[in-house]
Amino acid sequence: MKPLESRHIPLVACAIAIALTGPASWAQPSAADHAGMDHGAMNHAAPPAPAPPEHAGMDHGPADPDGSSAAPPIGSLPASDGAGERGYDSYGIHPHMMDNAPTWQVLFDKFGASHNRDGHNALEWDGRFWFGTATDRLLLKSEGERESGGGSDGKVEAFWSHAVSPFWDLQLGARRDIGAGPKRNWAAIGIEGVLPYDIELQATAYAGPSGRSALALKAEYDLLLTQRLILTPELEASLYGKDDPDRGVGAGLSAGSFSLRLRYEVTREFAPYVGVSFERKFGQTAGYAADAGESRSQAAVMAGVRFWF
Amino acid sequence: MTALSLPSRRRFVHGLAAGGALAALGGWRSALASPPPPQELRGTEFHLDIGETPVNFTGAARIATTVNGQLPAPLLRWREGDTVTLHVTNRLREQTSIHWHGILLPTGMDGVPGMSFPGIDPGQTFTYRFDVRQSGTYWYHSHSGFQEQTGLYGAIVIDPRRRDPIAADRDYTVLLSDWTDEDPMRVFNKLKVMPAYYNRIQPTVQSLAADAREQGWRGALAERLMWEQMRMDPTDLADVSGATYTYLTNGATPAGNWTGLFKPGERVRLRFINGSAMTYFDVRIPGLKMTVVAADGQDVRPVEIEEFRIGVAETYDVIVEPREDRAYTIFSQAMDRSGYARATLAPRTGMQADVPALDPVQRLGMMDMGMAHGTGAEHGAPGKDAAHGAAGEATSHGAMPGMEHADVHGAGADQGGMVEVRHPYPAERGVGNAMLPDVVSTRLDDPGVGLRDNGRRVLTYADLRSVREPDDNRPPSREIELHLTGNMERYMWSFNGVKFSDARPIVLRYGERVRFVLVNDTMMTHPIHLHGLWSDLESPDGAFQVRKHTISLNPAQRISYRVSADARGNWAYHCHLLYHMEAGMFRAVVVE
Repeated sequence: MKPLESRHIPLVACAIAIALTGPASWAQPSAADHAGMDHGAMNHAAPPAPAPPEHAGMDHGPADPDGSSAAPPIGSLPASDGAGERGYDSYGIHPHMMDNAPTWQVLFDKFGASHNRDGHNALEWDGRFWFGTATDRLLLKSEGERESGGGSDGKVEAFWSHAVSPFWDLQLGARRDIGAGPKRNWAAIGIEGVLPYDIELQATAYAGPSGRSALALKAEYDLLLTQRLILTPELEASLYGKDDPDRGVGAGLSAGSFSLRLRYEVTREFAPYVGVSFERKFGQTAGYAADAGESRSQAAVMAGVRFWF
Repeated sequence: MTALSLPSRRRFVHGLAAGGALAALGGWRSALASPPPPQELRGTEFHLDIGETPVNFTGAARIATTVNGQLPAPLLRWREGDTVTLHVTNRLREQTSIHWHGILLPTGMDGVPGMSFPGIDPGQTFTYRFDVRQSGTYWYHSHSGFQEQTGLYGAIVIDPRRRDPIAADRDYTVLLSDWTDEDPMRVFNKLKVMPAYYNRIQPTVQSLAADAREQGWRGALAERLMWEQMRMDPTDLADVSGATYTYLTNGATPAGNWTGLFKPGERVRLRFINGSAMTYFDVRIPGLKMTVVAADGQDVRPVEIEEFRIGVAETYDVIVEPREDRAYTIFSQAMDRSGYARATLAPRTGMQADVPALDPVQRLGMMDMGMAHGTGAEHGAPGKDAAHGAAGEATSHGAMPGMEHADVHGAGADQGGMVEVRHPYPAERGVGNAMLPDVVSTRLDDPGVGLRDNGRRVLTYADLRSVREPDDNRPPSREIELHLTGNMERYMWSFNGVKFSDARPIVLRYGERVRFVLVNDTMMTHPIHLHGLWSDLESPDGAFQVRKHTISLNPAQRISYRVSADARGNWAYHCHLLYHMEAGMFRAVVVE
């Protein structure tokens, strides 16, 4: 597995742009959109003169075996969506529908321990909480790890997540770095959604004080081996605009990781997992790591539970 | 949290033998005893008390919403021409309502809170009174919250004023429904958080290997990749499945085995009603042919079949003539094959017949996604070759009749065919709609996914022809085109991509005759119900065919029907899948 390199970023961006453009469709706009019914007719057609109503249900006489006499073909009549000019209020209609009812979820994709090649143990988490409707949500995210030696690294983020297409949300918010080193604050803008082939993608750009900038990418895919046994490959990459020696990150592609988790859904909500991860630091970030006596690449095994409620 | 762990699974599917309303049963009864037939109320004046009743269908005690302590609610037997008065008292702690499904009545009696009346508050009694202007098999249910899911549904049989042309020695209502031990609000929220929550037939590596054995790795993989490229799931046949549902016949679990008695040689009329919240059933009685004589309460020309699909809220009356001195199983399997309802016809109580195995799951195919193949259209998408490869595989299996030889551009005028479809509404391309089919089927003779080419004679809408033509059978003077839209990923459901809250009422002028053209953009089957006015289904060439109150559309199907705007007021118009309706697949129709 080759780590994600910076020259691939335009490709990812391009894929995102394609994904954002609209619903899944094989429709050739030229073919599908201009065939069939007349565009102009879709507006409010003048209703025809009323005819005397008759009581439906009190039917008499045999049906015409060939259907009724004159049957104008479908699409030949004036057509519209039928909507009147006025809203519900003017008809005394008071919707009791739950189509705006919010809901929420707490989800921990990762919640467990890891053990790396150097013999260090760490607690790891990757969780989120959201509250809202199908289209607008408050989203809180946090991920990170705490090593048994005391070192830790992580971030907490808060977003307004707004649906912009069937499969994509635009996210605006903020991030705060936690753990060792100075606590950096960032403004954040990102997208999250599903690429063709059911690949889930999160891409978030950050800007902070002193001209700092960063980009975080995460892609994962759920491969169902059986209805309950699921293998999840995940790719992550982080990029920074300038060196931040205090937090050990250098400009450019700073780190990339690949992990594989195998979970078993005891229930939908509760799924223990085991996995492996490979991480590599690049450029100046690798340099800082070397200075601190750490290796530039790392491998670990992990175990934990994915759960939500 | 209800854990869907394996040991409890059998109980969900089969239920308890003595499951049901405990109050009505007076405690536990021995295995294989049927609960009593639903109480039948006759006459012109009725007292219906809506309350809470303890039930136990799966081994877990739960509270159901009931009428007079019964689940299903009592069978109401009316007579055409009578005026009926129904005093409905609310003994719940929340608002309630009763809607008389398929009944012609003044709008204020229709029973949809916020639409045509204010609803019935706790402790209140609301008196419904209206003239009965029709005959046949109908049903009633709550139109408030999720009470329909928790048990508030019952049958209505209206005897015709004149002699019933459909003679029968025995007459049973067979009310199918789906029961969950979960709070329906939890079910709804789970669907919103994880739309595939109840889907236990998702494509897996395991199923891919099975497909590969049948059609080769190349074809199997191509088909899998095509669906994933679209971000669609070919196994999304039911949003809520036997993973939580226990399927009931007249309130009895499969183990409870409701039994209708007959003497060999008798003509038995079975009035099937689908009172489910979410479940389509495929119904058959192995060993017996069924003659369909009515649909949605309206007499149809008799047609002999072996199996029929009943959409949520539809009714079908069938005649069976068992000649042998043996039991027959009424087998109603859920469309996604995750479970079944079971009942028995027998000469004596306690007899039972074999229960067939569930049919294998049939996944959605090319026809269901409205995909033109072999038309030379170049998509330029990476999945194109995969798509066409899969199409070849699929049709070579004969899984999709009408597709192999369908000519997209030369649809037959009488049977219908595949036609190109436009998507005129901007919101169809919005967040709330994930699919835009290129072509849709106008055929009425496709029994739908799961029933195609199963070797049995399966009823389709093409077989249904009303005995009588509507009094007002003028050709329509205009069209209202509505697209059924949805985004499974977000659990959004709507018409034209606009959910109820964001839409304006559809306005009809009193006396006009309008054609509704429905195009199903989605990959799910939806039963669409118009309150207060008949839906006169048209054949593909636009002629009147059969009168219904609920019309089911297959994925990527176009259907048209005529409506006479002969009753003033506000009427509900919606998908009768309960969670789709609550998610916003609902419109108001105003006749002014």
